[in-house]
Amino acid sequence: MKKFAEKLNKEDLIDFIEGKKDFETINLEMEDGEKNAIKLSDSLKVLSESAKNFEDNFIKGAAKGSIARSDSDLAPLVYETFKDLPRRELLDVRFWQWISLNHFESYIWIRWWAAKNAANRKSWPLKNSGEKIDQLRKKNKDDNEIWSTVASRFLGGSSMKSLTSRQAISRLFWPYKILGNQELTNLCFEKQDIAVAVFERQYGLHQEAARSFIKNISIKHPSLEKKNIQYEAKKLNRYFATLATEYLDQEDIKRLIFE
Amino acid sequence: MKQTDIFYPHKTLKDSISLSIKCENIDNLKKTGNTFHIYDEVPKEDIKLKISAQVPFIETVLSEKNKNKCSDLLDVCLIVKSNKSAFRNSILMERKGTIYSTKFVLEKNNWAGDVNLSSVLILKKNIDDEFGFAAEKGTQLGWSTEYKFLFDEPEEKKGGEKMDVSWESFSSQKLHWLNKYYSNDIYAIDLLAGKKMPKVYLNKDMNEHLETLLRNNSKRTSPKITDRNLMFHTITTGIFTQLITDAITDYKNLIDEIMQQEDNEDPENIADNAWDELPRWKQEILENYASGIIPECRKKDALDTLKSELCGKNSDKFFKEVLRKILNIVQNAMKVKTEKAFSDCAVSLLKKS
Repeated sequence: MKKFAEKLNKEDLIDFIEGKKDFETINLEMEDGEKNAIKLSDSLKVLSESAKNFEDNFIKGAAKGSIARSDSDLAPLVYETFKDLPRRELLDVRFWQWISLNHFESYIWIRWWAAKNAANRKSWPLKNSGEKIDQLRKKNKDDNEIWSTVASRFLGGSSMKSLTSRQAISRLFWPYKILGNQELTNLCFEKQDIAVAVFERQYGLHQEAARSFIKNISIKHPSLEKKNIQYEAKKLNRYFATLATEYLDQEDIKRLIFE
Repeated sequence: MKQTDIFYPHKTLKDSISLSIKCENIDNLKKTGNTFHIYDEVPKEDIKLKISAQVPFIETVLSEKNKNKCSDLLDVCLIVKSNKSAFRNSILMERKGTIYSTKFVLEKNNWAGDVNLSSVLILKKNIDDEFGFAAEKGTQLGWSTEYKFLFDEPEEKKGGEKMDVSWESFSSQKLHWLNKYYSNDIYAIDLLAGKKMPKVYLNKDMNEHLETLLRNNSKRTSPKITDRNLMFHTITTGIFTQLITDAITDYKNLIDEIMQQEDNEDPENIADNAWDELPRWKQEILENYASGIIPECRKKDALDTLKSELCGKNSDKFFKEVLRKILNIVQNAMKVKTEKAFSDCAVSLLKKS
């Protein structure tokens, strides 16, 4: 398992897709190296197969809803595959960039570009690197460069939120790690607004807060309307200006949600 | 925002909690003030910390009727926060007399970025409402200063703290991007250093009299110095115009990019997320010039207003208006107003004639 020696930026992404440049990599150091490497390689095969199934389903015409719901199927597999890597590596976007570009490029294109609208769906698969680059980097009417959001799904960013919510593969790993079980992960990804509301806010890093919000939001607002999810997430954020998030347990946070 | 900037509707400690953090197993961890620079020399073993806190006049945060229930109603906790490590938690500190203490291990392979440790006095449970006193479980009632453990070099430090100005030939290989068409220009700014602070270049090949004048550091008043000041002013205006334009354009592009992302329409979130992605120097530029960009705003609200305007329904219009006025924003924001720099020069020239 590897990571890029330097964090890739958007221009590097273009170079990578064009195959223009060899990017230096670093091998990840793992405890109990050989044994873990074999286990990791087996898990990666299973995960890659699931990603391939996702791609096949898309080509067969899977609906947009089922595309988004695939997050909750893939999240536990992503977690199982990478959970034994040193935590510091799992926090390093260079690792997620490397794994994304070397193992999940098609998955990311489909999940975050092809499934976005009917026109993109029709254009999939993109035939060559030139077509991909044309989609990644476009010009607007003022001749300014506009980057497709799929770039940030490959690259992530420098903030915590990009790790827990934006980078295409790490956003499946970290929520599962924080939530700790399949049931909550299903609820989290049932509506993308929930995942965004929790994992783009700092309190989402406190296990008790993240779990309680996700458990209780659908009880308080069964229809899970975006505006209600956003309102509750903001309300909780305001409480945490005076309350110590880290001190509260799930019941305390439930009480705040229902207050 | 600092805790002292927040108005609390309840009584809090008048003085800070005094926090002491000592490393039990490694001598001489590199430290500046309350910041440990772990990345400089990563230790071979995990870092074992012994933490103690002294809380001054703890009973003052409780009402008269609760003053003797400090141990029933108050906890002192160590708060561990690290965004880059995706971690937030609290550890209860054990009381022995007036000292609260705990131990904490920082495993060297578990952390990234900075880990912040602080001690907080917290209300332990819900109690009856009394005017001016906290009643809700979890309410923060006092704070210590924060200790930082840096497991990675801070990004802003990589960029340096101020902008470098250097004299270089615009025909040199180092500034190859200026060679063909711009080799006779006076100044240039290189913004393409990624997260690093931009660099300003003055052309070593400029007219020698001009160079002598620009290198003159004198502060006394004379026609020569007034002329030099005007030159400085003109250069500075150009540079800041470009810096602010670049920072606000980058911020707007990041906002637009995040807005396009599926299911992400919460403006407050979008503004924060885009802000986090912005290099530190661009954040600083916008922090410093926000009140100049929106002069009708109170100084302390200017940055928040700027963020919400750039995420609002009329963001494109707002952005174009800012760009339209950018030269004036800079002129107004200069330490020596443009009008004064030009007028002083005119006065000195006319006096001479």
